[in-house]
Amino acid sequence: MKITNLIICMFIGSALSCGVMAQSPESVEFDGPENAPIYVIEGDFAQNYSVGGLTYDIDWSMSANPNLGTLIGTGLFDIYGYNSGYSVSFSGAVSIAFTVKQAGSVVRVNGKMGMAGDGYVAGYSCTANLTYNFSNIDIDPLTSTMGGYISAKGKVTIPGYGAQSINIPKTYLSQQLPDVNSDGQWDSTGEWTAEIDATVDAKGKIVGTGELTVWDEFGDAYDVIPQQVSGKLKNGVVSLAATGNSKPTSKIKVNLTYLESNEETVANKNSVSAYGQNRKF
Amino acid sequence: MIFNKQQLPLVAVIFIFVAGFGVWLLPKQDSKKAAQRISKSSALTGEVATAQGLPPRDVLRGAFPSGVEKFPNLVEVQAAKAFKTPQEKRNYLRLLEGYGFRGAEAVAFLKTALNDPDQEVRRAAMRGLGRTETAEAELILMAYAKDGVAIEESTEAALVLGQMTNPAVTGKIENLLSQARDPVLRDHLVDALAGRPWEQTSRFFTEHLNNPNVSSEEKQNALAMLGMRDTAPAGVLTGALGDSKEEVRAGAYQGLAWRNETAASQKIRISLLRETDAGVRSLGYEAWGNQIDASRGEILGEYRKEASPEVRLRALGAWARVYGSSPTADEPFLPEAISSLEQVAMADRDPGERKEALKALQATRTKEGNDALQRIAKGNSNPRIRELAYRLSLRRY
Repeated sequence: MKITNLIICMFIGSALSCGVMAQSPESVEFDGPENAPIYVIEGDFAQNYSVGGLTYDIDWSMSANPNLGTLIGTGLFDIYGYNSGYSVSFSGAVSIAFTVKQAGSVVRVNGKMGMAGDGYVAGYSCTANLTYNFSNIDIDPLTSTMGGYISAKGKVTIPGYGAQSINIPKTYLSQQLPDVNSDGQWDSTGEWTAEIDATVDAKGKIVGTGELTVWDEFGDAYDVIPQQVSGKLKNGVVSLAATGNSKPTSKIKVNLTYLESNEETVANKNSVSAYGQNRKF
Repeated sequence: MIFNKQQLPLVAVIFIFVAGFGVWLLPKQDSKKAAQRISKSSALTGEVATAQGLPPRDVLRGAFPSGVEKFPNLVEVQAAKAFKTPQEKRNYLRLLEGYGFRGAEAVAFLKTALNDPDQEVRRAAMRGLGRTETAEAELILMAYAKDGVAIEESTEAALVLGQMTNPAVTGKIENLLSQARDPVLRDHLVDALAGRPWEQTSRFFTEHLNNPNVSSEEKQNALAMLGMRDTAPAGVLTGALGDSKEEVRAGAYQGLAWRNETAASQKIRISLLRETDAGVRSLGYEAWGNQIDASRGEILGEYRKEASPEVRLRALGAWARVYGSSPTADEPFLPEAISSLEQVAMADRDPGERKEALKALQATRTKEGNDALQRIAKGNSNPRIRELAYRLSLRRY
């Protein structure tokens, strides 16, 4: 059986390293190009502000599911100070659930933040449950901004005094993204790397394994997703399709097409899908 | 409803959450102005409330200064059009959107902005058109929410239509969906419908979820979004647990993991018995942990049977969440749970799994969990995990 050596080096303006073993399987490491970023919106978020004599501390951690593009988080809030002569001390839990979806070059987030807590207002014990709904929030990591709609509904109860519904209508939200890391920087770089180990048979069929790694700005991985690789070598063109190797990662995909002769990728025949985003390049 | 004197503290509490919400409404760089504006309304609200009480609607009005002065006028919008910096562009986009609040008078200018060469400007104009709530805007947006239009714009139009208040828009979105072929556009049209009132969409979603010609992936998305939006009754989600398609059941689990205040733990437990795929089982546990009637003993029983490490971790996460909602000092499983989670957080090759373990440790809301987080913060090989563990360990338990 003839073994065709795959020299899988691709240059499309991105860094690349290539290690070719003496025999199959061949190895390749491909760094995602700048025009195909995969943004990971996760980390520890904190909001601290004062309004009308009250201080609000909201702190939550959010992690992203690379397969579903969902963001799940939990956290805590504290509200304290004075409002209109009332002393206020209120605290509780925050729960976050968002989905990330992409349409072309636009990344949007939908979701909700639940706040449930108890405390005291002017000596009265009370409880509150509130859900903030975020609709069609456009995320622009380059300018660290987001914009979209927000609404809220919930209920406040003071035992002995009854309960009252809160219903805040949809209102447009536009603001800077909350700080993510301790340096106050939005640290989603969009960088990713695909590593592939593959063999090719006499008929040009390629099989192998791979890993997709999505990086933060410190060079630490958000996630490492094992993949299975299939493809073909035909008429001097190598086509590789790497897909998450289990159902929980089955929507995470890398497709690469390049010329065997000069190892350059074929424009618009490559893509990466992860974290609810799909980039073609 | 009018508050009586005894209900005045209730008014104050409502204000607390409304004011907190208000801060989100303005850009961070405007936070000082926002604080001043809301502070001003706070004084007004407090003054009136203590004097005679206010219905919630008036309290909200006080917290959200509304009216023409809040919305940009045409001169402001036109002046901002000559932007030079990214910040100025962002401001122009925001003004375009805000200009829509002026209603019918804004339509003409926003229509011209739809011809702008910059797609971001065109999309902002669409959002502005949506805010006008006019029949003309509906027609314009419907022309965009179709196949053949750039996907960024067709999806924008779909989502903006979903935000419009006219109940008749619901049927128009359904009609657009029946014509759309692009899966991304279809997804966004379904998202737009999922956020609309259930009384307008119940017939559509009932048919959609039972339609054999609709893909399982689309049904999965619909169920997940219905759960997230809290629009559909919980029975719609639990009913889908009986679907023969794995993807549809996965959507039901997602929806039940996100929906507020559901008590479907027994239906989820029974449904989990049939699930063989690790990914779907993981989603099932996430849904189970979100149920207000979940029993940590039952989750523990199923956890013991799980073989897949990733499923075991999700089961532990569900257990931790339920335990953390009402912790007791004499829980014998707690040390084992903490130890298992710490092991994953320290040694799992996948940072994503390590983070899941950290979240579960924090969810126990115990000193033991906090101690584990502190150990991880000091000794983990991954700096990102160390940082996250440190942050989580700062929270009280």
